[in-house]
Amino acid sequence: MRIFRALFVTLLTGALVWALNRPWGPAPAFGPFLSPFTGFWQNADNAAGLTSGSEIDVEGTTQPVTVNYDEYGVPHIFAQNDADAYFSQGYVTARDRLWQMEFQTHAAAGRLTELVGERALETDRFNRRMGMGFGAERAAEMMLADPTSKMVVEAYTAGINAYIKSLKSGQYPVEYKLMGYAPEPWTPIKCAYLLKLMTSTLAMGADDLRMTNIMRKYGPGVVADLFPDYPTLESPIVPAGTKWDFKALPIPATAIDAAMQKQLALRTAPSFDAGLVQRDAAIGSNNWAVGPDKSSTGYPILASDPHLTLSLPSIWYQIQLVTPTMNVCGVSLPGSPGVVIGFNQKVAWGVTNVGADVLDFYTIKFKDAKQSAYWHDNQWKPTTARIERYKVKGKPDVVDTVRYTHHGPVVYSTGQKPLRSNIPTGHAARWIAHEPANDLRCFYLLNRATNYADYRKALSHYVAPAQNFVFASVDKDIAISPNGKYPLKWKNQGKFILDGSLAAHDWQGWIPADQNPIVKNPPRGFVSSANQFLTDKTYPYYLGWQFAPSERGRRINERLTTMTNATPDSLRNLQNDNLNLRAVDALPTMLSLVQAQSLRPDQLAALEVIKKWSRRNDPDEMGPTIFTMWNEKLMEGIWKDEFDGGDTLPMRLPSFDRTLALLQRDPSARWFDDVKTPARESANDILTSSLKAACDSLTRAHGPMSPTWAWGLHKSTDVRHLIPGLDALSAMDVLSGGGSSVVNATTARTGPSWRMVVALGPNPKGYGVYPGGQSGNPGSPGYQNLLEAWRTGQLNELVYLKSANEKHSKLTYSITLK
Amino acid sequence: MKSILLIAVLSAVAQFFMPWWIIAPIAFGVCFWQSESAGKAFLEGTASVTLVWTAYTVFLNIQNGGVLATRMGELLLKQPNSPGLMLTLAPFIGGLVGGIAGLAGFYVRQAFMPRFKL
Repeated sequence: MRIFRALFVTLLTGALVWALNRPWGPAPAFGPFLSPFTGFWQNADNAAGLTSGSEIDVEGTTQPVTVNYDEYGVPHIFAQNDADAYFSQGYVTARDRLWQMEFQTHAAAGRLTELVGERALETDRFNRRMGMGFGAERAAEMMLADPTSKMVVEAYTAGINAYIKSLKSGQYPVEYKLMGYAPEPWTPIKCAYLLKLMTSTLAMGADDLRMTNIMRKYGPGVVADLFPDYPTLESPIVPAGTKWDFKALPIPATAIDAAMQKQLALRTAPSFDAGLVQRDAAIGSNNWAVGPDKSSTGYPILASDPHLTLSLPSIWYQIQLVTPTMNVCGVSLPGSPGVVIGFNQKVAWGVTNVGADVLDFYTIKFKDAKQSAYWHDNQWKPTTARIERYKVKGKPDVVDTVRYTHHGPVVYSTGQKPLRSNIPTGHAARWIAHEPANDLRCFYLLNRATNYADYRKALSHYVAPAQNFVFASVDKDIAISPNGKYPLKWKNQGKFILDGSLAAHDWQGWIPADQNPIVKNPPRGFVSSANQFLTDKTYPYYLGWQFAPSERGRRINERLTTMTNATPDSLRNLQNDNLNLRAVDALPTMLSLVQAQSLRPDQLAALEVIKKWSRRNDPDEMGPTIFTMWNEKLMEGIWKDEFDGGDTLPMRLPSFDRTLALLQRDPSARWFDDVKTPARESANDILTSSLKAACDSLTRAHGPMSPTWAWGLHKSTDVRHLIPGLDALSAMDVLSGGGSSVVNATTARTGPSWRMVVALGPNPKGYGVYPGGQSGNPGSPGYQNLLEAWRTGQLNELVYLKSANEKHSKLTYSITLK
Repeated sequence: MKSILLIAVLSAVAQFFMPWWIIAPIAFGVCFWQSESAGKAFLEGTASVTLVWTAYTVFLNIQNGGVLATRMGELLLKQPNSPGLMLTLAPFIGGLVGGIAGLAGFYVRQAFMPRFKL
């Protein structure tokens, strides 16, 4: 009996330890996770922050490196050579952001199944089938072939690995403990993956399929009318009338001919939506620079605020790197060496997304079910097979074969397969992310640039995602260039799905880098961009038929035109401009067409709010809430009956710009009729019914009209942790103004991921803030300590040191790496 | 009392180098060696580990201002603004393991070496 009891309790002990030592579903292993010696408690950083310095013994630097931290947790790295600086950047970035760096590159590489199991398989499959791995491998190859970028990326890698090696499992970032895995060694290709991730975020927009379906259903007349190649209202990045000082290459002949149109009409509707997203109008950015004549300092002042999906740990990581070859300060992407947006003693630069059409789809005709050959240029050409192996947590590996044509990988939906058993067809993606590229080289040179010529030289190395690089120098030059590697196309090539069997449909070469659009020191005294059209219609090359809506760009240009004696604070103020130019444009028309007599009292009250509204998207206003909802219902009301084909025939709606022009010029157009009702509706009807629908929808969400309809509450901006659903590690309901198509582009999930203003001069002064903090640790006071300043539109001084010994009131502690 | 002190000191030191479950063999061993009754063994195992885990979690939590315990309470237990829950749960789990391991240690001695006396 005693023996039985002893054995039983001993076994019970073992079972309890076993049960507590393993994860259960998504829950972490409770034993190690709750233990104060190894668990999350170990990530509970001192709330007072680190204040005392130390020497850290690491292997990898050739000379001692001093890292001074300021009160925002920004490292200022002083190294005696470049390799040591990049090593230290890797080390200190990993110290703050290790989990994020690795998770993002795992996501880009299609390896999330290793961490979360089968539910990530479709996401992983999509990333891999789009050729993220293929592109990253080519980029890594090119990066390592160049001695300079090889030195940079290898030193950075060694720095990250030195940090990883110093960790015991109890010191792993808390996300590793939550998900039950460990960091793996960093490799140079991960830097390439990170840049591919940016390309997939910023240059994966594709409406080819939707436009093709619209063409099939409505024909070229309607496409030309409703989906024009240039908007009604625009203020392009390179000011209209700027002369092009180059001799353009011959433009390839348009290959959309009668035969093509016929083929298009005969083809069954392609329906591979494979997770391709329509371009998100809210993911854009602003940047601008005012010249010496407009500034109070007599030197240029530059501003840059890239808009992205707001997330924690923060997208950006502030850093200063000082070596005998550079002294650069700004933000970096954790996982990529150097500074992406910032300034040095002589120059400052910033970026916004271009959004040119650099992703096209080609219909592929395979020889047979083996898919080992495809028809192109009147012959069968071999495909290459790329085997993708997915390690799935808790399940056997999944193996997938992707066929590559000379266009690129064939991406097609699994749902399509059984329908086409005899002649398997799919679509190959021709995507800029597949081009060999060494974008690091561009940032390496920009970080050391001293003048306009250096800036041009740096930009020539940049491939993707194409960015509007704004520039200002202490020589009093300002410039902006929508820059990247652009395919040479015929007009509208890639607006519709292309025929992968015709050589004339291939990309026809490249626009020479020195013929990319650019403007330097324009007479208007400023340069700017907000993702709008790049040029007027005189630029000889085709870059795309749609860009971001023009409101932000027009508003910025309007304010900069009238601005005089600009200070950094005037530019900060413009970054936070809440004027809703779309409302200014549209409300006179909308208010004149709406039929007030058929509204209920509560709807009339909402109309009154709109009429009295300041047109500013301030957080406490109800106007923006009602206008935004009305606008949404209006677009749906006008277009959804004709252009919502659901999943079977994916289409898209015309732009707001086109809709407004239609309302103004042709209020009796057939498009205003709801084809689902017997009556014939007019613009008046649809404006009225959409206002009613907007009021109903808001009442359902927030109750009868009251201050709960305030824009800041309704919009409810969240800065969410990278792992979906972890509200506890996110900043929820961050009360803020702004909105999509507003200069302060803060929407529910997206917004300015970094705001920077730099005043050039003999002693450059930088200011900046982002919604989060330098630490990636949710247990650290530095996780979101910058959020409040960001929310209220403030900027912090960017501490810019000249030497390691310089005293500065904001410095807190320093470490030495040796 | 002596056992509690022994387990506490030994396990506190060991846990800096070894996995968390080292508390189980330590409680087992000390109770095998020292405990006078089943009830005392369980109590000594529980009290000692709870003591160590409470002391360390409270220390870490105070210097952190409760930030992470609050987040984890919300994440794991869906209870916002209650860092106290994690401060209770963690020592409870540790204590439970210590207690049962201690009990097992005492029972094993009783079963296999009933005459064992130091």
